[in-house]
Amino acid sequence: MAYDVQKIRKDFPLLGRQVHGKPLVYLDNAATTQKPKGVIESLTRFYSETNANIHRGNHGLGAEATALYEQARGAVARFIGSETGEQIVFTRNTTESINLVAQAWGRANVKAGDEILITEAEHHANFVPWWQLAQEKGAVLKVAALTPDGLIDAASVKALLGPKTKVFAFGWVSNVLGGVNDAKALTALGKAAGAVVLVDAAQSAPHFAMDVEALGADFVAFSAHKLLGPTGLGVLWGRHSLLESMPPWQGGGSMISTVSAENITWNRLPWKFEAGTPNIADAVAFAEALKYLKGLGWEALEAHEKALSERALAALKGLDGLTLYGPQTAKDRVAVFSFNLAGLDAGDAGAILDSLGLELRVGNLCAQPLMKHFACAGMIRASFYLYNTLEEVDALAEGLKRAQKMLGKVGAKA
Amino acid sequence: MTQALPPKLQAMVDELKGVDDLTDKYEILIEMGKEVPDIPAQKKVAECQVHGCQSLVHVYADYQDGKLHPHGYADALIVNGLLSLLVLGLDGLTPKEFLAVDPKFIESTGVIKTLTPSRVNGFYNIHEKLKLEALKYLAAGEKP
Repeated sequence: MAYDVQKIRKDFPLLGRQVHGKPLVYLDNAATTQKPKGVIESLTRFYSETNANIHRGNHGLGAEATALYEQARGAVARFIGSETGEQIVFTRNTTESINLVAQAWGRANVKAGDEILITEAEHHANFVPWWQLAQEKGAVLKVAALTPDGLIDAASVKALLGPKTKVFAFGWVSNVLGGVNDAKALTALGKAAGAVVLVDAAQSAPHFAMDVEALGADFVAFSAHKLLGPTGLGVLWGRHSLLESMPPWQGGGSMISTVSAENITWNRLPWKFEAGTPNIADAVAFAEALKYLKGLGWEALEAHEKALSERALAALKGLDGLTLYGPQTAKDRVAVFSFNLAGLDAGDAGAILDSLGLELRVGNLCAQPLMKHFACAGMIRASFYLYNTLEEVDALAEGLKRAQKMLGKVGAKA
Repeated sequence: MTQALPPKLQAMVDELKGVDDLTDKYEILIEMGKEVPDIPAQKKVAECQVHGCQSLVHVYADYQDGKLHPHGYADALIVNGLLSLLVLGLDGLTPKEFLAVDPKFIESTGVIKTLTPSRVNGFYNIHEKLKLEALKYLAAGEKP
C-alpha cells in the first residue's frame, strides 16, 4: 500500500492548527512528536473507563488497570525484541533511564580509578549522569572523538577502551546531527573490552526497528514521547542478569516485597525499579502509539523519511552560506538536520522561522560538548517525522531564504 | 494606570503595533536595530556586558547636562532591535524620567510573547543594566 502522508496527517489533530496566523509546519520532532488520535483517545478512555491504582487493590477495576499497564509493558518488549517483559522498566524519560543505570548500577560497580567512556556527540542526558558518577566515585570520564561527519569514531573508542573501562555509553543517533552510528559494532567493541554498554536510543527508536537482543548491549534507554507516545514515560531495557544483580534505585511502594524495621526485601523485576504509583495511563497510551507505528510499518516509514532527507539535503545545500553538520548524504542518517547560515545568529533565524509558522529548534540542542566540537554557540535544527511532507521541506527552504533576506547579507558576520 | 511613554519610544511602539503580522514586526524591529550606532571596543568589556542573554550584549550610558544617553550593541539583530527601543526610545531623558518607564511596555508590541524565555529575560536584563546606570546618575544629580 502506498504511503499516503496526507491521510496520515489527518490522524494527528494538532497538525491542522495555525501558529501566528500561518499554517503550522512542525519540524521539532527530535524534541517531541505529535500524537495520533488513537493515543489521545486512549488517555481519555483510560481515565473515563479504567482508572485505578495498579498492583494493589483487590478489586476488579484495579485488576483491569493492572492488566492494561502490564500489557503495555509486553507491547514494548515485543516492539524492541526483548525476550521478557521483566527487562522493561518504565521510567519518566530517557534521562531518568540513564540516571537509573548510572546511580543504581554505577554506584555499586564503579570505583575510584575506574574509567567511564562516553562520546563528544552525547546529549546532556548521556553526559551529565556519568560526569556526576565519575565525580562521586573518583572515576575517570573519557570522551571518544568523532569522524568529520560527526559519527562516533570507532578507532577512538577502541583506543580509549581498556581494562579499567567499566561502562561505555553512547547515543545510537545524535539528537543534533541525525547520524546513525553502527551501534552493533560499537557495542561489540565495548563488550570485547569487558565494559557494560548502554545505548541511548532516544533518537533512533522513532526512526527504525530495533532488536535489543541482536544489538548485544546491556542497557537501552528511550522515551515514549519521541515516537508518538505521551510525555512523562521512558523505557529502560536491561540485561536480565544485570538488572537482577543491581540494587534498587528509588525506594517506596511497589518496589518492595516485605518491609520491617529490621529488614526489607525487594520486589521481583521489573517492579524492583518502579517505586511508587507509576505512569499508568501514559504507558497504556504508549501501547497505542506502538500499534500505530506497527500499522504503518518500518519499511514504509523509512522510505518516506529517506525521501524527506534527500529533498532536505538538496534544498539546504542549495542555500548560500549554509553549513550542514553531520552526514552529508541520506545514507547513515535520519531526517534530523542541524546547520548554520553564515552571518546569521541562530536565535534570530529561529525567531523569523517561527513567525512564518515553522516550529523548529535553535540553540545548543542540549549538546554543549558537540557545539564546542563544531566551534559554534548554537545551531538551527529541523527534525522531520513520518507526517512531514516534501512541501514542508520546501517551506523550510523558503523560510530560510526569507530569514537571510531579512537579516542581511550572507557572510556579513563571522 | 499605564503611564504615557516618552514620545520617541511611543512612536517606535506604535510602529510595531501598527502591523499584525509577526514576521512584519520582526522586520521593523531589525530595521530599528540598524539605527543603533555600534559602541567603541573599549565598552565591549565585562563591566558593560548584560548577563542572562543568549547573545553577546553590552550597554552603558553617558550623562550630559542632566540627561541620560544610553548606548549599546547586541550581536544578534532581533536582540539589537529590542535594545534599540531602550537605547533610542529612551535617549535624552533625565534619570528620573528614565526610571519612570515601566519596561513592560514591550508586551504591548506583540514582539516578545513568542520569543524564547532567554530572549525575553534578555530584554529585561538590558533594561535592568541601564536602570542601574540611571540610578547611578540620579544619585549624582541629586548632589548639590
